[in-house]
Parts: sequence; structure tokens; C-alpha cells
Amino acid sequence: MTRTPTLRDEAWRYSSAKAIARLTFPPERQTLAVSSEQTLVEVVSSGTNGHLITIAEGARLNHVRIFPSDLSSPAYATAKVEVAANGYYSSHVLNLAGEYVRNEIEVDLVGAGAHADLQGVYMISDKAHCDTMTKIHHAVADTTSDEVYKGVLKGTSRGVFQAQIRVAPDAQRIVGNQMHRALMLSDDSRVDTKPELEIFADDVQCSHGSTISDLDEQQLFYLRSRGLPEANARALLIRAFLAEFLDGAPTALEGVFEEGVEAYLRGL
Amino acid sequence: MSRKYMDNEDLDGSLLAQGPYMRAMLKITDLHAQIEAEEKPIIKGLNLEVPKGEVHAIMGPNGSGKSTLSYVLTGRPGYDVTCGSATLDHADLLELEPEERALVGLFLAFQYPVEIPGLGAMTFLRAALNARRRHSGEKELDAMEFLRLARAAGQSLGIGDDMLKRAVNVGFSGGEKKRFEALQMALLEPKFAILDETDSGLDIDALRVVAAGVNTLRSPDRGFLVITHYQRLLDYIKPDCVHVLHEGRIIQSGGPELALRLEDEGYDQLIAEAS
Repeated sequence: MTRTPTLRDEAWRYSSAKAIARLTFPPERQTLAVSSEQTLVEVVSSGTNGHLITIAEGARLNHVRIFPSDLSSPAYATAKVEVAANGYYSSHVLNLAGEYVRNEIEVDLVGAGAHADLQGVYMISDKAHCDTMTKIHHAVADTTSDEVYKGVLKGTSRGVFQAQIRVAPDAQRIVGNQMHRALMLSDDSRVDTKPELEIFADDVQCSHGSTISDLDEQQLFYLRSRGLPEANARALLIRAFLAEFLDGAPTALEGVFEEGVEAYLRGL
Repeated sequence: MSRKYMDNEDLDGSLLAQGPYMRAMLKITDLHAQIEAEEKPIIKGLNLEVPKGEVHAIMGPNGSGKSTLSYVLTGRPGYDVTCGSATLDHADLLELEPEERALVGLFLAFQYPVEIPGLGAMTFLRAALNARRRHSGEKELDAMEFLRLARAAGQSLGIGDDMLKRAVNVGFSGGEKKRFEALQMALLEPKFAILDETDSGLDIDALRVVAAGVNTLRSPDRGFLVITHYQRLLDYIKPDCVHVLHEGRIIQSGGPELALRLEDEGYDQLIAEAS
């Protein structure tokens, strides 16, 4: 977006006008060309943060994006990523912030064998607002993508998940899977989720799913029946819900994630 | 209703305290319970006493209230007790939270053990055992100490490291789930265990393993309530006493021969006799 967006723009309709007013548009983008295997750890600061990334043929980027708990004003992080043949883009986004946060990732898979793996976790409370917007464009045949975002919400926090998978005309043999799961621990939290599949080819396996729930009563009872106090059982189930996020994640993320979970569970 | 239990109903509290019933470990008196959402009575005036060291079986046709009884005793949300009492030793079970019931020594081996993706079996077992140890003032076990204990207990149940490394009940076969229930029971060493249709979903080999696991836990200090639809399980876990549940009440009690009779004649005849 080159001008300042408004809530009338579809991509920003679940955003916050107050927060937008504190961000700068268009985002300035740092460029990054990845030609082998590389890890980018982006600790997002307040304001607008942009990246323009190209991943060369056969190269791989492990992109870790962290919205830290000490953000004191709205933050917007956006990346445009182009992945060439047999390239691999792996993204792990962790949001621990108590502020408005906009997490944006657009991936163009432009060569056969290119893959995008997008994983995200947000753990939010009080008045935090986590606005996620991803677009995966399968521009050519034989490209694949996987996306799993999970959120835990309490207080009056709000989660937004808008995710688009687009398959270009005649881009055949595409696999694209998308999933968003939210665990709402309070009655006053809110989740808006909008999966979008635009498919212009016929030999395609695409899926999307969205679940919004409280903790599972049967699981909770099973744990309590073994002598685990309710608070303890709830904490174990929240950890279990989030556990797969660390599968395949760069080790740099583990410590931050653990601390984030600990802090979040302490606040329950 | 059998003689024994008729008499029991007629006794008042003071007489109970003097008689052989003082040994009752689990004592259920005139229990009435319903499913909260439906307000439909399921348990309708159930009386039962299981003394320390004994294994009692509850048999009954589908819908007689067998599983509801196990859930009401262990405190599963969604059930209302409208009348009656249930105590384990001197603890008033119905006043306690599910975890407190576990900590006073009650254990339920689930008919359908619950899958918990993302929660490692070892993490779960250690958390449960340490909750128990904290409660009884014992030192909590660290990961290594616990691993040794769990391996030893798992061995006789055919539970190896591969199973302990998986998430709780996820991808377990029917037999593995029931063996995992037996492992939890062995580690938690409850005072009183309820086995809810432990034989369902088990082939004969798995049944033997699980039954052997239960039998090694039989002791003069521990009681069992074995809930089952079929007599088969009772070939492997020999009960001291068999009760027949029908429409939320015990309609007959007897020795192990009662289960054999049921197997021969079916529930219908017995129900007809009782009514």
C-alpha cells in the first residue's frame, strides 16, 4: 500500500484507525537477497518495518519475526518475499506484544519446487490487537505452501487472521494448506478470521481451516482426574496447544518462546 | 434388590459404624444423579459399599448408568447429583473438585482415554505423580528419577520408550490406550480404582496384559470397582462381589457366579425377576 490505508480498505478493515495514524506509509523496505541458507531474526520495533526479500534458486531463508512484550506503541512489520525454483521460505512469527501489531507477509512462489512454510503464534491479553495478513501466490506450477497460525487470547484482546492463497491460471499440481486456530480464554476477547482461496487452475490441493474454542473440557477433566489442579491443567493444555510451533523452528526462537509462554501463563 | 443390600439400607449410621460395614472404603448411599443439560435422571437411588481389599464388579446393559456412575464419583462436569452421598474412607467425594478426589486416592481408568496432542506422555505422567507427591509431602521427582520409575512400571505392561515419547494417547491403539491407563494407575498408586469398561476395544492378548497389571495392584489396602458389560473381563480380574445395575439402581448382588449366570441367561431374565 503506497498511501495511508483506511478501515475501508479490505486488507485493513479489522485494523485500528488510531494505530494506523501512528504508522508511516508506504513502508520503507530493506532489501535482502538470499543465495544459500540464511537465518534472519527480526525483532520488531514500534512503527513501520519493511523487508523486500528474494530467495534464489535452491536457497533457503529461515525468517524469525518477534513482536516483543515490551513494545510501547503500535508496530507494523511487512515482508514481500519472492522464492525462485526449489527455494524455501520458512517463517516463524511470535507475537508477545500488548499493543496493536500488524504482521504482514506476502510470498510469491515463482519457480517450480518453491515452498513457503508460515508458522505463527500470538499470545495476547488486555487491549492487545494482533492483526495478521498473509498472501501466498502460487505463480507457477509445482509449488507448495503450508501455513499454521495459533492464537491464545484473554482479556479484551483481539486477533485478526486474513490469509489468502492465490493460484495463478494454469499453475497446476499445487498443494496449499492453511490453518488458523484460536483459543479464547475470555468472553470479551474477539477473533476475526477470513481465509481466502483464489484458484484459477484445476489440478490443485488446497485446504483452509479455522477453529475458535475454549480449552477442551474432556482434556481438562482427564488431567484433573489425575490430581492436577485446574490452573496447572489449563497451563499444560495451553502449552500443548502451542507446542508444534517449535517443530522445525530455529533454535534462536526457543528461549524467547519459552519465556513468552511462562510469562503468559503466570498472568492467567 | 438382594438381601444384603436391603439390610444395609435399613441400618442407621450408628449401627453401620459398629458392624462389618465400618470396613467400607467406598460407600455410596441413595445416590441420585442426572445429566445437567438434559435434567434426565440416570442414577436413581444407588447404594453400594466396597470394603478395603475387595474387587467389586458392576455389570449392566447399555444405558443402565454404568459410565455415569464412574463420572459422578470422579466429578466430571456436566452431571448433577440431586440426592445422596458418596464417600471414600472419610472423604465426602461429592464436595471435592476432581483433582481433590484424585488426591484422596480415587482413580478412574477411562473407557475412552482422552487424546491430548502436544502434551508428551512423560510430561503428563510426571506432572500427575508430582502433584500426588506434593500433596503427600514427598519430594518431587526430577526428569531422570521419574524416567527410571516410569520405565520400570512400563516394562510389565509392555510400554516402551517409544510410547512414552508420544503425545498422551495420540496415535495409540485401543490396547495401548488401556495399557497406558494401567500405567497411570500403577504410578499413582490410588487407594481406590474404578475401571470403566476397561475391556472395550481390547483383543484377548491386550486384555490379559491389562488384567495382569490390575491384578498386581490388588492389595488388602486397595479397593476396585470394575464396570463392565461382559463377563469376559471377570475371568481375568476375579471379583469378590458382582452387582447388576439396571435403570440407575442395583437390582441384584452376589458372588462371581452371578456374572456367569448373566452370561448364560442375559440381562432380560434377571431384570424380569427383579421387577
